[in-house]
Amino acid sequence: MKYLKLIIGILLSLNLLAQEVEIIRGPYLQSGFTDKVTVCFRTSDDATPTVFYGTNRENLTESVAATESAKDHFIDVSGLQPYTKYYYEIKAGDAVLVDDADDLFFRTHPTKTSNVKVHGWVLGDCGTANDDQRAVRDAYYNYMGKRATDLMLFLGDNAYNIGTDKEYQKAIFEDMYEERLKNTIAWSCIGNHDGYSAKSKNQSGPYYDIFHFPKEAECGGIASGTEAYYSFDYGNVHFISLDSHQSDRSVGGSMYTWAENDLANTTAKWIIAFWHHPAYSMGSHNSDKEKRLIQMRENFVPLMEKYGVDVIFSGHSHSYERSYMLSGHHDVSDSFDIEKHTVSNGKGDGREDGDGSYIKTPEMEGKGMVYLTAGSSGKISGFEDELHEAIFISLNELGSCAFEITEDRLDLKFIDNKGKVEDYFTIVKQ
Amino acid sequence: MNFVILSAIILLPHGDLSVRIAEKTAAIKKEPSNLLLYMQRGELYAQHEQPDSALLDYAVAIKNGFDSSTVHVLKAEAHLALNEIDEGMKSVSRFLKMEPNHLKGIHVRAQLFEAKNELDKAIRDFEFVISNSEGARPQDYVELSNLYLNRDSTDFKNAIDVLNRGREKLGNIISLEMKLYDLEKSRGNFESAHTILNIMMEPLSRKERLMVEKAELFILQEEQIEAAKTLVEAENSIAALPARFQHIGATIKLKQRIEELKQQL
Repeated sequence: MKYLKLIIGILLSLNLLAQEVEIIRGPYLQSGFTDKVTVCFRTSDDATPTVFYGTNRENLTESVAATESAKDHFIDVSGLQPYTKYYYEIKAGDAVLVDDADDLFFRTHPTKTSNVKVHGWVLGDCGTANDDQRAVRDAYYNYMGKRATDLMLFLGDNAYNIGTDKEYQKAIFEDMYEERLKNTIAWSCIGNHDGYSAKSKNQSGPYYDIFHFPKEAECGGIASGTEAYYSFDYGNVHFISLDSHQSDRSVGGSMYTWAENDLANTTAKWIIAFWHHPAYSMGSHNSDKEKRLIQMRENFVPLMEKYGVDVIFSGHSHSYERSYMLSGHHDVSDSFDIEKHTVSNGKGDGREDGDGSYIKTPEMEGKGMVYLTAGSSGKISGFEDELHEAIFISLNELGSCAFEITEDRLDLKFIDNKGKVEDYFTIVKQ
Repeated sequence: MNFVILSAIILLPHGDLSVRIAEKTAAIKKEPSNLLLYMQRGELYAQHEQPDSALLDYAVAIKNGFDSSTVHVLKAEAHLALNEIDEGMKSVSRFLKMEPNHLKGIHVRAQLFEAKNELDKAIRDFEFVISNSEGARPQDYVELSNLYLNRDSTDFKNAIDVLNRGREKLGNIISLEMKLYDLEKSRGNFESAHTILNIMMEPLSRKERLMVEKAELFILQEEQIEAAKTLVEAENSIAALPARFQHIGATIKLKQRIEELKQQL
């Protein structure tokens, strides 16, 4: 007995009986740019891990260590080369927490002049943590095959019911998107369900604890001073994320002033905006009646039009609703006049094999935007009695959006949970 | 004509918020003595923009001795939404008695004081909230700056000071600096306005909008030569933009403004 106690004592002192630290969330990637990325993960116990990385998987020569012992880690990796694939692994002391692998990598953003193809995956109101959400995911994975996803956009309501940390674990990190999140930089806007437990006012709560967004223009754009709304550049595409839930939505308010200056400063060829509450929807939310939706349409849509934004994504309604190529429609659904409120060939279906791709020329004064409500990545909730007049196609189908942008062309597809492309359109800039 | 594929038609005003209210109502039916459920349904009603219904639920919880401070601050918020200021003040006072210095309570009280036009007290509370918040936003500083000017339209000193405190804490944030610029310009402090403009312009890749602002300042200062020079710079800057930006609505308006300013030279 005496000897047994002695052996246990020795083993404990050698830390061999102590429980091994393991990664229980992630890794996932945040706030990427041409020269940086943040590698995020959660360990089962306090640890001071190190991220090893390099362009050659067999030789990860560079490293960055966490600066303090913690469970949640956000390790900034900087000094990187643009549009370069870096493999990585994570260790804590000698223990390997995540071993290097073919699919464990991050790719930095391309520079504005590089004109590389961009593949984006857009998920709205996905956070049901159920098999419907997984079916949408699998359909996208099958659709993409071996093609890489360059970025993920979450449109809010990422974890039902109230966006707790536990709900996020199930809806995002565990048996859900981990295969993409470890090699694809993810971005989001806040939804009302995230807002039950998170506050934009002081950027606290699970949503703001989990996501790390640029507030000092670290990823392009102009500093917003808050993670509630921000912008970033990916090659020749400028993305702007707004907080339609908890920040001031008034014209001349702080978010508006920032957004106007941010849009006035970009030279990107394509501009994509995203926020949670849709400007045009008759899905499970009615954009004629609900305050936030009305304010976003009346206050922010004209601003987006003024600066030539090309596409706007929203969620909130658990359906897919895609507009014609619109301009100048800021009122209720009934006031929509297809002749007056569409531009170029915008009253068509936007399909290359149909009425033709939507065409935008410089002389169109930047006019012409396509609006998507894509909030059916986790559930569907049907429509109002009358559909929105400005919407070309309304689908009560589970699914997500995949977009591809090359130099002068944007292609978007809505892929349902069975892998069928239910809608598609193209915008061509001449 | 919409192209539609419908597999189900369900009418859900306010989406799943309505479902959650219905679920909470069902839970209350099962457990009518669970007062927490009333408070929770009240919160949902408030989010549903039905503060009057929220108040009914809060009243049930309070009347039956619900032991929570939170219900009082929620009640104060609902009263504020209905512009029932005195009732709101009673509720928030009760909350703050139980939770002194609680930032949410003080913030609600600040809004109530503002609604009562008791601006000294509103400013005191907003200052407390900003000083003690970890993550105060640009809009918090801008709103407090506006409040100083609402109290006294000549109090540029405090209005500017709070914006500068925001800049110290958050960095060079354009929404703070635009406000600062407007204040300096409107009080005729043109040199400071130029300084702020220069700070704003420095990191920008497209400076044409602020160049036009600068030209306007020069015109106000009656420095016509500088104004003309700056307008030419703005025009050159626009001309150097890719074609797609030269034709967007914002640029067309800017060109019109340049022409208007030229007429003033």
